Amino acid sequence: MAFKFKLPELGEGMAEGEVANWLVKEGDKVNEDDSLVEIQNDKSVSELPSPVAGTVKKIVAQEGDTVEIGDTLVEIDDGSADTADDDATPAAPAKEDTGTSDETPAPASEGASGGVPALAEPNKLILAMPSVRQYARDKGIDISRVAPSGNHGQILKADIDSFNGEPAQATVAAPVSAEQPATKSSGQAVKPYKSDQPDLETREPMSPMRKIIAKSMRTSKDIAPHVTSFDDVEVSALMDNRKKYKQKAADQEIHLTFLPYIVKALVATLKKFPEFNASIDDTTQEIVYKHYYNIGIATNTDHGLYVPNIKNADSKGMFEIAKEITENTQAAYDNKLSPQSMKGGSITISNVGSIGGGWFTPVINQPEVAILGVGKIAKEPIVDENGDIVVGKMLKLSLSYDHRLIDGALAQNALNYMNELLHDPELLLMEG
Amino acid sequence: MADVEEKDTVIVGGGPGGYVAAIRASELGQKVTLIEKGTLGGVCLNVGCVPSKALINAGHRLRDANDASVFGITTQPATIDFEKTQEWKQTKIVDRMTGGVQMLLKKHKVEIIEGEAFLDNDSQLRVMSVGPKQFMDNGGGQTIKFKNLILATGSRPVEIPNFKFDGRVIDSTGALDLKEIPKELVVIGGGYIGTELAGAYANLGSHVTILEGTPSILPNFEKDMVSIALKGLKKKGVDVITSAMAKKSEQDDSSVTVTYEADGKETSIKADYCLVSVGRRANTDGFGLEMTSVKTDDHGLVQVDQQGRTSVNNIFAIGDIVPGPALAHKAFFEAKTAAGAIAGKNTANDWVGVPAVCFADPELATVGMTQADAKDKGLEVSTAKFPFAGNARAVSLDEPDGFVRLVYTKDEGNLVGAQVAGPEASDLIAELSLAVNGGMNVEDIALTIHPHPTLSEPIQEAADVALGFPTHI
Repeated sequence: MAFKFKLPELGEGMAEGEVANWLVKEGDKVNEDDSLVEIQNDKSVSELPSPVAGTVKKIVAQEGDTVEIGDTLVEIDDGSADTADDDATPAAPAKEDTGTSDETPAPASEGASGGVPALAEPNKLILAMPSVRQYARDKGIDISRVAPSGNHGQILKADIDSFNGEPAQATVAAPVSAEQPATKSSGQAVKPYKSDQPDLETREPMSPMRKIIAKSMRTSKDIAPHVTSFDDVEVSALMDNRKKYKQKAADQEIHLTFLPYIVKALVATLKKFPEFNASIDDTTQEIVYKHYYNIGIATNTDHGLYVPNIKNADSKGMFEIAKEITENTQAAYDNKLSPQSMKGGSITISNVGSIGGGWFTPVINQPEVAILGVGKIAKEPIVDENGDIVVGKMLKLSLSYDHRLIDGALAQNALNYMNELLHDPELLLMEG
Repeated sequence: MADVEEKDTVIVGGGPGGYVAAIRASELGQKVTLIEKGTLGGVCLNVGCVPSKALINAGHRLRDANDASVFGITTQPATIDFEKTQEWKQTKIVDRMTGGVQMLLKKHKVEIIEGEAFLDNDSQLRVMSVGPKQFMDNGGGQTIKFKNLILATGSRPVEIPNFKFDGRVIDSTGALDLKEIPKELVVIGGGYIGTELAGAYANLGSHVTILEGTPSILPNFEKDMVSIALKGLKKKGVDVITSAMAKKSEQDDSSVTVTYEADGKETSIKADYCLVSVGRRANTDGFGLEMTSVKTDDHGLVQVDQQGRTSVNNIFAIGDIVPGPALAHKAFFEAKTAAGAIAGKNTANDWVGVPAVCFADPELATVGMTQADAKDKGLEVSTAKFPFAGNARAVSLDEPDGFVRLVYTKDEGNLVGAQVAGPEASDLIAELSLAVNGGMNVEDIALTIHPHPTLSEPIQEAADVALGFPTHI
């Protein structure tokens, strides 16, 4: 009678998500493919469509609950008969028996494949006391995915407690995802906002995307001591170059902006200054140097901020990069960016110049170690090589970097090099 | 037609799996009905593990009484009144233990129905009561609708062609219930049951011949362990003939003649009894399992998930009818898991290793992986062995044969398996089972004080061997 809709795989490496917003309520009629719920994870928000038509019988996972792949989100009465494979509830008296303690959905009633999580790696040697295994099952955690902290690889009860859904092998992102939102951290006191004049204020819940951005920004500022270097560069030659090839690009239906030039200049800079194409693994105190050049472009949309990256930009031509930027922007607007397109970045470009911004202090997109803020190109009086005051076309650059890895002089040298490239597009052609 | 009765949790079979499931289900708040067609306690308590240990012990006492010269003791040949032995075994052990089970079930308010269950479908069964009164009262059968069902129907000895269980061709049940000690006993099948009973009767005075079809007895134990058991059998005059095919049996009033083929030639042995112990077969037939949607595998065993749940959500199966070793202690564990699963608990049959024991002379026991198992799994392992000959207690018991072996990973010394051949191996394996199931390493064992002088010390010593700092070797 009831179809149990379980959290499907949302993307690579994503084992769990938070129920952000229910778009239906119990008793609602839904058609196949109607949106049911918004699930948020550390990369994006996904709207899940209903795989069946029917009536929403029971919302199992509540807003704010963290759910793992395979957890039941909602029961939908689709008029079909019970089958052994998708419904164990009528047979199991668990619900009646455990009564009040059954606040969380009991995994034991989840289906014929067993109420306990199946081990992802049944052949892996798992060292844990039987009581710890039981504890993991009670928490619905597949113990084979838990990273051990005990002596000689023993999984301890505390390891189960601190398991955050990430696979056992720690990734560079681990320190970030291990961070709990302030509202959930038991140790940290979260202060309420109090006001003397609440009448003159309105309160609105933060959208899931806003929460993600808030969390990422706070995390980045917590992790990385930011320093920002400002500079400007005269780009008349670059503008001429763009003017010259703009039409050629348009003939191929490519919109040539200044961004592809900056992507190319960045690739050349990363090659010369590999510290900017790196991440820090806090768990091992290692610097991870990346031998690929995936240049992220921060993309603002009406439904949030995304950073898709141009994969292997070092092996792509200017037009190809221009085309890809346009496609990624469109995908971001259409909410069709794949999680993969936002992973594995080298460095990020944040462009506020197109809307008139100048210098600013961009926040690093973790786990990267630097971000280039691109401002507007302003006409300003400058002194040329002959000592004459002329009109210069000045591009404003703001380079934020993680001072744990990059010191000020290194950052300035990198910035100087980038200036040279952007000042002289022919040199960019040579080095880019 | 009698009324249909509705029940909460119904268990078919009152053996080790069934009665433990009943107790645990009751402890977890379920109303439990247990259906048993024979005697509570199943094979284990009535005609298996427990009575066989009684006879093995009687055999040891007789052997020790007649073989104590090493301690400077000489005796008139000790004699045995086997009728008294059997009476002791039945009344003081079997009856007492099965009575205890009955008492425990009563204490947990488990309803016991004596009778044979037949499944009608996925939610209903009938019980054909064994008592004539109930049979009449219920018009030949009582229909029960169950919310949850646990199948614990166990297993039975396998028959082989030309050796029908009858008269002097007996199964393990018959062998435990003999009225006299056979002068000549043939045991077909040198598995753990055959080996144990061969040893028991040899100690009681029989001349025993074991006929084993494969090249070695006790195929589930490693070669070096088997050779220790073989030494024990030879010492008491047991003939072990391997790669032997039992061909036929002929009985008269006072004997059975067993003909077998080995090395291409046929030989006959005239014996008082012929025990056939070539294996056990799961009881998945004869009670209407085919009327349900419960799926069985290629070996006829019931397919279950980690919690013992069959392909039908409210039907569970435990013990000998599901995959894994057909051992009572595995059934105990599965019983608790299934009862817990019905109560909505997150139980699972996720043991790392199930210990297995053979009560040979000396005893053999293993838990977890052997070195070969570990290699099959792709683990890099080493082994460390310590002989009982280096253990003061074993020497003082005049039982210096055997060893403790640890199997552990090369990198961290994590214990993945262990084997014990030697005195009280059956008890010693418990500590190693804890260590294997708890994910301990050899250093954990080496740094745990073991009492002196005891048979447990070789475990710690083997761990010292693993670490490269042995003391008594």
